[in-house]
Amino acid sequence: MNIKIIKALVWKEWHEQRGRLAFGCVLLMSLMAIGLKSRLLPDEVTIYFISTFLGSFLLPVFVVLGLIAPEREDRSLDTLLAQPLATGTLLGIKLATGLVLCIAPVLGATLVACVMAGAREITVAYIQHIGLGSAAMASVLLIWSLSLSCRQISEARAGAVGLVVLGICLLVFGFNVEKIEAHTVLYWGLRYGNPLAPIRSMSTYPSQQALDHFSAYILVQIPILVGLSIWTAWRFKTLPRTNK
Amino acid sequence: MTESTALLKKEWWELRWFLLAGLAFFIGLPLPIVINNLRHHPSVMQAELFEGPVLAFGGLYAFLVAIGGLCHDLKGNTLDFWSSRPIGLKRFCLVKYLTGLSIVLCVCSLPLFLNFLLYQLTNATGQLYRMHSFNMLSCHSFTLILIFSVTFLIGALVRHAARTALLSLCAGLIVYFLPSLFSSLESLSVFYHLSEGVLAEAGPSRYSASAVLFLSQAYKQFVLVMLTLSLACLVLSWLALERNWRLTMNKQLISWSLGLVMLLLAGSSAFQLGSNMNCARQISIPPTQQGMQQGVFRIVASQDAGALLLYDFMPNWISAHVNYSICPFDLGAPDLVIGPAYATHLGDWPGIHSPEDDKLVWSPQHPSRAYLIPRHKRPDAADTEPAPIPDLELWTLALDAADANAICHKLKLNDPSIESNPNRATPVHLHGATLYAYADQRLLCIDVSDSDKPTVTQTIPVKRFGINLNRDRTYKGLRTLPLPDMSDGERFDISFGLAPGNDKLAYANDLLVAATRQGITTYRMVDMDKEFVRFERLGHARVSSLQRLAGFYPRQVIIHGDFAYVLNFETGIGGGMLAFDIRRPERPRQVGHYAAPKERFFAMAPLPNGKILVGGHSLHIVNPPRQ
Repeated sequence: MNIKIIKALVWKEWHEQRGRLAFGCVLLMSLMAIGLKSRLLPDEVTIYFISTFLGSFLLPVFVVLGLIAPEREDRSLDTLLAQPLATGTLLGIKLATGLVLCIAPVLGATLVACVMAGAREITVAYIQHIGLGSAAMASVLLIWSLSLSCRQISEARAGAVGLVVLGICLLVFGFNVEKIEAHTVLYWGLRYGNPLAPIRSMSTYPSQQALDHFSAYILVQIPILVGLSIWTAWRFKTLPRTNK
Repeated sequence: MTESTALLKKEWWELRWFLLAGLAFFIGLPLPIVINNLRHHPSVMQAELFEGPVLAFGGLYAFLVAIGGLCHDLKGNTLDFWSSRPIGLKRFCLVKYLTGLSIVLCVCSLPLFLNFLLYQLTNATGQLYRMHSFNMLSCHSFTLILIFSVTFLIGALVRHAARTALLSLCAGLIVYFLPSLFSSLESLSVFYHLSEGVLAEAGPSRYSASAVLFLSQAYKQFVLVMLTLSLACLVLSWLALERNWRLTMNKQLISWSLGLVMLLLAGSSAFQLGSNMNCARQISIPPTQQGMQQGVFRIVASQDAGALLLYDFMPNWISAHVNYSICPFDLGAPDLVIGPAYATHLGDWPGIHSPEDDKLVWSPQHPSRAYLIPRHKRPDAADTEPAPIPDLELWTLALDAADANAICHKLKLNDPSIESNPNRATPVHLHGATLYAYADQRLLCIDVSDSDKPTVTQTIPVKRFGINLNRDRTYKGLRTLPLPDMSDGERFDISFGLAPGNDKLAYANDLLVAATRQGITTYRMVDMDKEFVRFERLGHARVSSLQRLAGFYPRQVIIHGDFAYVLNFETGIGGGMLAFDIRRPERPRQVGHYAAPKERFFAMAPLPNGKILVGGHSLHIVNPPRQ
């Protein structure tokens, strides 16, 4: 493994994406600070709106839009794929960058919430629970969106795929899974296979049920994410080298 | 086939998926719920099922159609190809614009027409719902036209779908929300026209609600501005294509623009509705032994001490199950505890009405006693034999007594010759050692020098008393009570304290402050004689349009120091207390807001050092705004 090339690629990603990272952090942390200072809404609603709605739903779409598609649009992906480096490593660097771009703003906003509103209306532990849940959802949604959009040739199309993934997840989330027979594959798939599944259990914190649901979510998502990553790596490897 | 028809066919071919997707989203998704509702509850119509998605996502849909229709044809050398065609860029631009706009208007109007149809089918909704659908159609459509046009212009300038989307999102946020943040632009806000604000401004009218909207100057201005801006965007789009104007923006710059717009809107909203006043101290009120939450209904205070009328309620409270108790407090005490252990329970009184308008009287001379004339519960419509009308009584409440002895004395105030109205609140006012009450067109003077056994010393018949209004609903003056032995100042003080509806008025240092749903108005006392006190209007401060949209229902006004404080009865966004600077009464202005997102404030009272005591589910001691 060529460490020098990996370092160069990491530097390139940092150089390209640091603006987005700063943008995400400044936006979410500022909105959280404004919301909690002005107390327009109850603290719980403000934190859910910023961490979960903006951080977990919209931020991954925004991040997916700028990871692979611009490289294809600018035709710089061919050069990258021609490097003496495994395609999986290149994809791994992109994925890690995307995860940092998604997780850091959410955790930053959670930190602001803990400092400004910790133990004011809700406990610090509950705020941290919302923050971690939102970060997990953002990561899972990013991997899903990236897997399904990695072959798109423009930012607009990648963004559209991200929005469609989000829309389908929301529709599935709205479906009442309790009507399905419990402990069947379909039940587990719909209940915990959905990237947005933790929302249901987050509000029941600090019950044991919340932790059980979150553990089940992680257990179900891990094989799905591994499978998606392998599939993405294969699709990434077989990308057409020239942008037609 | 002409060139235009061919182009139209091409556009239709490209955009039909947007039409189908729009219809599926705006009609297809709510339809099963509406059908289910019609089957199970045919008399109940849920208007928001169709209207909500159109209002929430109509703008998003408009800019998706504009981007989808335009950006595809402007990539690379495609525009050169179109320039080379005999059709010309003007017709190319116009056909694209009109096709896209027709699809947007068709998709966003059909659900509203369907709503009308459902109203006819169910025959269960009132004029209000019909009017809302109608307002949506006649106001929101123009906003959609502007959003589509602005996106069209940005697309023509940027020619890149993703960047156009981000910039259009900024523009959409500005079109929707910026006019709501600035009072001078409020007539351009679609939410202003959709809200009842426009009708409230119009006042009582012989026209129907829809006609009021059409006839209002604000609506005409709104339509004119939306259409003019849309037309300007169309012309500029054509010029941009014709002269090959390009807007090259860095991706980062576009992202930051979007972020800045979001921060600007959030910051402006927070400034108008959020807390910029600091809470110096918050005193929680513990739940009762039965686990019921408690809140403050009335506060009477002098310096740091006073009395609180508390109510307790279940989480999902029903007013019939609310119990009341009374509790003394002294904020200077080192071991201050407010709560059930210290409160005297009042809830066992049968048939007590909610003491929302009943005034509580307390004085530091007799800190262990408070006085109240309660209203009684209105007879239930289902009651075949309504309960006999209870006596009008002055209750002396013991603040230091055990639960069973809450009422230590009852003084009957009835005049047998007059049938009193038990549902009307009886105002009371303490002046020195005499308590004044105005009931059944009589002024009752009650001696409370023996705080446990008040006695009626004098009854004065009153023919004309109360606040007089001008034709434009402003305050003209106060017709005072016949108290010949008193000075003009004392007579005014007692008359003002007993005047019906004085909760929304406050008077101090020759200045009267009146709160309405539009804001506050200041008046100066210009003339005072034995019968009438005349006021002159000085100035007016409107609350921000965002505040009015969020709901502004003044409940209580007090003047304290340089500020007038108004308690807003609204819960949720916009609820809380507003502070107005009245140092220049000709030009009062809002300088502060104290938000209460999780509770409803019922009462407030002035404290020393300019602080304000506000009562909700806990007691808040709020610092005055920074001067």
